Amino acid sequence: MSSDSAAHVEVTFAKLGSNSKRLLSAGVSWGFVLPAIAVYGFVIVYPMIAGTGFAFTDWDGLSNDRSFVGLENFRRLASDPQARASISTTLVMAGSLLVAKIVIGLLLALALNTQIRTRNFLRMIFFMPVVLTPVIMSFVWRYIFSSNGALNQLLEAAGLGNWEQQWLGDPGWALFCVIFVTSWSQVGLAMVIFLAGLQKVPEELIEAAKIDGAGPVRRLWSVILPMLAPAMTVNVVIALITGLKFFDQIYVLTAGGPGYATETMSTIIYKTSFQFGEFGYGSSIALVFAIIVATIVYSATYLLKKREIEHV
Amino acid sequence: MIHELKPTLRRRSLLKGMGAAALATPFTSRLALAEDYNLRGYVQSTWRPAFEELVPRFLEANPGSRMRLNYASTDQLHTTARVQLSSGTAADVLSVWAGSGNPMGCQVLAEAGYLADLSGEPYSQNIPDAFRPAMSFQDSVYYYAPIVSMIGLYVNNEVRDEFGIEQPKTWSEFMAVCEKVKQAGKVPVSLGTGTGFITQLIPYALVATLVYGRDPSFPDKMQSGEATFAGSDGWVEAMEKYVEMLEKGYFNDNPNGTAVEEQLQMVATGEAAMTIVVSSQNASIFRFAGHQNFTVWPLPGSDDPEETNIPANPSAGFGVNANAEDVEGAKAFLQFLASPEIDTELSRIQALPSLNQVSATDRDPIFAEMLAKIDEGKSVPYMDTRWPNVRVQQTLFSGVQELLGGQASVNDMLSRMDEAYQSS
Repeated sequence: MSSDSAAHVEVTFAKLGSNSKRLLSAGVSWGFVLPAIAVYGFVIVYPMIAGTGFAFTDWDGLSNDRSFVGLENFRRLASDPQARASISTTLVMAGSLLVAKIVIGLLLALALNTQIRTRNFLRMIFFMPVVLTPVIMSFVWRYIFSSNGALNQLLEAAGLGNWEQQWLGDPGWALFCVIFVTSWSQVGLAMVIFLAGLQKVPEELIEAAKIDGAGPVRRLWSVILPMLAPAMTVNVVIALITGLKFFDQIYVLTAGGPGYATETMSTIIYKTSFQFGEFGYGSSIALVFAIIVATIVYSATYLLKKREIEHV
Repeated sequence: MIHELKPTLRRRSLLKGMGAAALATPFTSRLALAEDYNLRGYVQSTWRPAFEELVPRFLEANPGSRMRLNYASTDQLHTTARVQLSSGTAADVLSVWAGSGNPMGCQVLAEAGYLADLSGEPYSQNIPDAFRPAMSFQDSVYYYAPIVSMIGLYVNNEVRDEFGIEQPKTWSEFMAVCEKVKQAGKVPVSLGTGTGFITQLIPYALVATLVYGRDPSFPDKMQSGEATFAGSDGWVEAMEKYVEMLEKGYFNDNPNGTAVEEQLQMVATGEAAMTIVVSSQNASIFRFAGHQNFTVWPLPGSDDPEETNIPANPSAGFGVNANAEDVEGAKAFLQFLASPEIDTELSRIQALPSLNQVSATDRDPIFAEMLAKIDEGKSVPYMDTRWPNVRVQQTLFSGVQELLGGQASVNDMLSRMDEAYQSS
């Protein structure tokens, strides 16, 4: 646009009344937002509404026939031992991932926020699992945990043959291994978020605490952690959402087995809908799952936000 | 993964050449036969080597045709092909499985109206009687299966010769072989129940004799509610024999933590003497071993050698999407695959006996004993082909893992299979 025409537009805009200006400005804003809303509606909102509708039908995901079955799918869910067991496994996994991410992520961030020379290299190493493709990474871990895999071979070579385990074959160990792999793949992200938070902590505040006689633990507890409240909120919310909806790592490592030991709501939803051809029932599990996730995440966010307001 | 194949002779150049070709009688007669198909295929990735070799020949025979192939793993295909079928975007040629116990089972898809009737096709006339029911719905044939799938006892011939193992004709003889191998410090039977589908193979091989061979009407009795898994002596005996093998140490350590690849590698490298597996795993065993020096025997289920039956089924094959844009083209493609020359090629590439040539005389010696059982009428279809839903099979997978892991009893797992069966 030439300077003349730009000036003309400015003059024309200046001549408009305040109502017209508001309308024009709103029109431009909507012009930018509408395509995104259309895509969001098509990809997210419509499937959610359709899925909610399917939850009250007996649709098999294939035929054109489906009947309204009311709350039958939800009654079935309440009496389905595998589905109920998958809810507790999901909560155990999400809780474990949350603790691992927060504790290990924070410790790593504190350690790598110092002046050690290799800090950038170490940050890269710890962050690397986050950018690896989950499916490929899980295949590698599956080989590591297999009966003749690297872990058992390493234990044998170290003279610890009696520590060898059926890592993915024993229900207890299988759940532990899945939690370990998912935590390993996510801790780097928590570390980076905490690092960003730590770099915002004013140096003079820490110096003041030191002058007041606060030791390292007191400084961490009373100065650094309160200042990290926003980073904590982000980390907790991300950890809860990812922990509750993990699928690919579990599916590759154990496919929900052995038996039903590592079956989570995500794997149950997938199997019910796509493998068993019970799309209606699968949708009802997904609906309950969505409500559980929304409740947990909303509650966590509400509590943590309150904490931020108190301390910031 | 998408792979597009085009003929070497493009449509435009073909049209340009048609005027000149009209003067040459042999060429024009070929043109009159050839068609101009535009096909899409969505098939299991195990067929990729065969298709990469054979599809160009189909396109050569039909100049101007195009075929866009999309390969996927079984799991991925089960999920996406169903969605594509219900949304009207499915390919013309699809991978299809036998019976009704699979998300892409021909009976499941035919009942929903998604498969074209192939009863009138020439290859449908040659299907052996034992296999026809699993490929049909309401007496019409709905897919073409190029090869036969069997579950048997694979023996590494080098290990067989080293230990002087002879074919066990009874369950007791089989157990004696296992004991002999175990005493020699080798794993008798490799097992990788960490992979779901492996869990079912030993039960299938045993109930072929103990249940379905003894009472061919057992599936009908299940359907009418007269019989149940937990109430079947044969099913109970089969699962008890499975546990017996585990307790006697005839499997490798930690079968639930072992994947199919490890299972096959163990028998391929001679670390294990035998394995019980489905013939679709042939290519993998041969690849791991670097040779084809194996023998496949029927697994005896009882102490009466005359009773031994084997599970044998039409393999996964190809169906035609009833709503395809080019149904005739898709049918022509299946006719091409089923032509004797190409059928033999498919069988060679997949290293498995062709379904249409089960009774042929020049058999692969590896499968001689298995094919003899089919000849004798001592084969039964895979059990899941008559199950009413996929949940039964998945319950068997989880149940076996729990059984071998000591978290469930035989009665627990069979009762759960009954619940899954009755949930339809």
